[in-house]
Amino acid sequence: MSAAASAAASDHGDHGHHEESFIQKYFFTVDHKMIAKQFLFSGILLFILGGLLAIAVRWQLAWPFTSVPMFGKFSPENYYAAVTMHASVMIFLVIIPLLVGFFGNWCIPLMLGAPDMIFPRLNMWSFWMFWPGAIFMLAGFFVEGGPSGAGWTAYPPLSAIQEGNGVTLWALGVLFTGFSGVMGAVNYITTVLKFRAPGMTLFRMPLVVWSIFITSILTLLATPVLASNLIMVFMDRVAGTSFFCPDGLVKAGQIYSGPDGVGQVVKAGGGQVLLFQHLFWFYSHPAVYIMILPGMGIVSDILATFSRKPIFGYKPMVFSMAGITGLGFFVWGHHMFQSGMNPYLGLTFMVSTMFIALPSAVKVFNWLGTIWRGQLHFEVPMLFALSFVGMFIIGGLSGIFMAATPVDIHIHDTYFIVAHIHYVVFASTVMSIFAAVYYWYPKMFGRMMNKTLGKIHFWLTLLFLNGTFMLMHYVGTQGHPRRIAVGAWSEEHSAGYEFLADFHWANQFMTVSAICLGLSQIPFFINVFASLYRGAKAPDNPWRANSLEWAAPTPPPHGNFVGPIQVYRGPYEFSHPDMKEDFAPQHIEDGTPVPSSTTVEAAN
Amino acid sequence: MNWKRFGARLLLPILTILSLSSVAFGQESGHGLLLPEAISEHAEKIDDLFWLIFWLTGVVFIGTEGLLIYFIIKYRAKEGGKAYHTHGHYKTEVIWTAIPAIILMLLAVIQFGVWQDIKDPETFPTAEDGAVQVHVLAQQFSWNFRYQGPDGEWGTDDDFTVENQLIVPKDRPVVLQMRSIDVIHSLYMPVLRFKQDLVPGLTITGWFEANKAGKYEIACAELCGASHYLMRAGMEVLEPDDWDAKMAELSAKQGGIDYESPTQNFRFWRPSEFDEKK
Repeated sequence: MSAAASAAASDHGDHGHHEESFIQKYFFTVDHKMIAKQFLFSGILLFILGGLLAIAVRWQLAWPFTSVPMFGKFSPENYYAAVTMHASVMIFLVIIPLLVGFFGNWCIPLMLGAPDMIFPRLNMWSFWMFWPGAIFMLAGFFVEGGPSGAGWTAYPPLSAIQEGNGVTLWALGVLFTGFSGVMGAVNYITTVLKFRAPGMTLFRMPLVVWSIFITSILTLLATPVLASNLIMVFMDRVAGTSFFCPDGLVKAGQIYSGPDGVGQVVKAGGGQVLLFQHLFWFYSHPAVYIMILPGMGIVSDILATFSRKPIFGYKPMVFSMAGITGLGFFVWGHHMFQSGMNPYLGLTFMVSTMFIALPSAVKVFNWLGTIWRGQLHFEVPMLFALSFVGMFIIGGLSGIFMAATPVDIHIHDTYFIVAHIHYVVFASTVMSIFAAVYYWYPKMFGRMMNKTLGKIHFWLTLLFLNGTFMLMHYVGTQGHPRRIAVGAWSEEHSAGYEFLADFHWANQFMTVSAICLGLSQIPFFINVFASLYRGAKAPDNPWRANSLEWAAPTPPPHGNFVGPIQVYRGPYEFSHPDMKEDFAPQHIEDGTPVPSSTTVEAAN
Repeated sequence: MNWKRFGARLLLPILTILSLSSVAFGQESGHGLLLPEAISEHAEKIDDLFWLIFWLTGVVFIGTEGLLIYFIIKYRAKEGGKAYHTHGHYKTEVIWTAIPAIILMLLAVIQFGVWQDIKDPETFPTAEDGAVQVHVLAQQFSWNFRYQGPDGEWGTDDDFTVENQLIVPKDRPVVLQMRSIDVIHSLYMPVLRFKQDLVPGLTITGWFEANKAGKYEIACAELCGASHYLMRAGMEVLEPDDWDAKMAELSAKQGGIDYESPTQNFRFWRPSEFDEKK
């Protein structure tokens, strides 16, 4: 293995010399770092789109059917399309590509001491499968009838009988992003297992790598199930099959599938509606972990580095992630407690769901253990990482309410679940993505990001995300259903629910807060783009961290490392009492760190 | 700044807010601070479990977030300070894995009874228990409720249908048999803490027993199309005598259902369809 790795390294060194054309370098590149950057900028672009859709949705809830800035006046169809596309864009085109496509690509080879991914060309294809997915999904905006309005969960029969081509394009889009994800996953798993530098044992890998490795296993096993499901919906829509259309289904006053009662069969019936939900959540529950595990890995690394302390309980951290993965395949039914499946299944899924809270709790305790008696440096990535822990606690605890089946009867499909998913996916995952961008930016682009802008971005985001999502718990427990175009009854809008009339102010408060949350991202975009040109030159190891990516030149060239890399210890040897410096890079034998002139203090 | 004194000063307002809020959360009538009014025993049981989890997670929340903030303040980097070098502690890991495991297990087990009581069709009240039967047929975008009429039988001349109005007696169990003809809908009655998806192709049963007369709202809780937000209905809980009178009045006015008429021809709407055990 080691020989192969070094052979490949020298191979890549040679490759690095010949001139690449612009197209080769920036578009059809096989360099994992450039692919990571492609995913990063694609993700940021789509993140803006998803964010604008979110604000449009919130606008409608606060001031129903008034003119939404930039979108114009909403019809209910527009509203449901915005709800669906916000979720789909954010999940399939932003979070998963950023966490897995961007981080997976960026971190794995560098942190393993490898010159590149083991299948560079497959890696390129993974990116070029992603964009067709995005284009198919977004094409919905330009076809008659608009994009899918069936929700991101696309439950049939609604998704099967909805007019227009929106749902069909949506299904194709998700299918392609699924291809992209599986290609990435195969690559990551193989790279982690086969392409590590000498001395890099599995238990010397940083937790980021572990988390993406484990996530890739989830992706690889779960995505095909989603694909089969999407293909069935696709066939139901375009090929006249009835996987999800039972006998006697009615569409626009006419029998749509099964015998029509006067001796004719319109379309074969006999489909099973609940089958879709089982298959969908068999993927989409693990997908929730795909969306949080890499964040957990990122935060673990950042907390250790800025606490100047080893991770508290490295192996329990790894095993808890493995535990989440294993259990993650047995909890999908908790999305279906009220779906009409056998209530006894609900009980078994409740027990497994309660238990999946356990590894998450263990991780929180270990993060607290990591900062305990540390020396905390509040650099921008650290702020985001700490807020991840704080927000993840909220998202984790609110999950217990929904795991309890009787309590779930009341809060299922209300804003409580919307609050829960946003605390996990925005307040935790997106915060970890920010943390990671601030943390690895110096290595990626060779420039430091602006600290003041970073802190402004952090504090505003933290404030307004709580302003937006905290009240959702409250209106949710009061019974505010999700996905309704008009929420509370008000003087202007008698289409709302009277029992929610007292909470219309909350809808308006959340909307104002959401708009501010959107505006709070402006310092981040400025920071990312301006620092490319105006940032201070970054030293090789600005955060005095141990893992191997900091041993590479800044920014790392094609082929990553200069000379062979040998790994001597784990990535978290901070503040060892026998050492003069408080860190010990993995690739330096005697623990004498790199000269201090390469650290950030010297650069400033 | 003296952080210990700062902490002590913070503690008092936090305790005050906590004790005030516990009074407010505990109020019995009207919509509470977090939950709407509860008008059935099921709703009260669910609320009890809700508050149990609320306080349990509340303690964990304050404990962990408090520790996080305390560590952030206490262990901020000091000039010349050195972090304590440790890779973890086996016993601590075992303890903080085992204790939550036990709590979570218990939390799961204590839900069993209430869940079975509410959802298990085997334990539902029957006609012998004085249960009232109502058929629910959901369609885009309205709720149809069918009643047996004064004779308490399906398929007779006094059956009648009311659109978007569920009329039930107080203090008598009501068993709903629910079907949907087009897409998935979800019958949601917040004051009863009742929610059940209606799935095309399946007949699903549910039951409740309201203990307070009054007018309430019913929502559709599952996205069912562009006018999903308009799919609302009313629920009226009447004193048993008033309910009998109302049933007789409506039955006389509507004059029965022609089950063979073309508009009623969707096979899901025939009473026999609702009896299918699937």
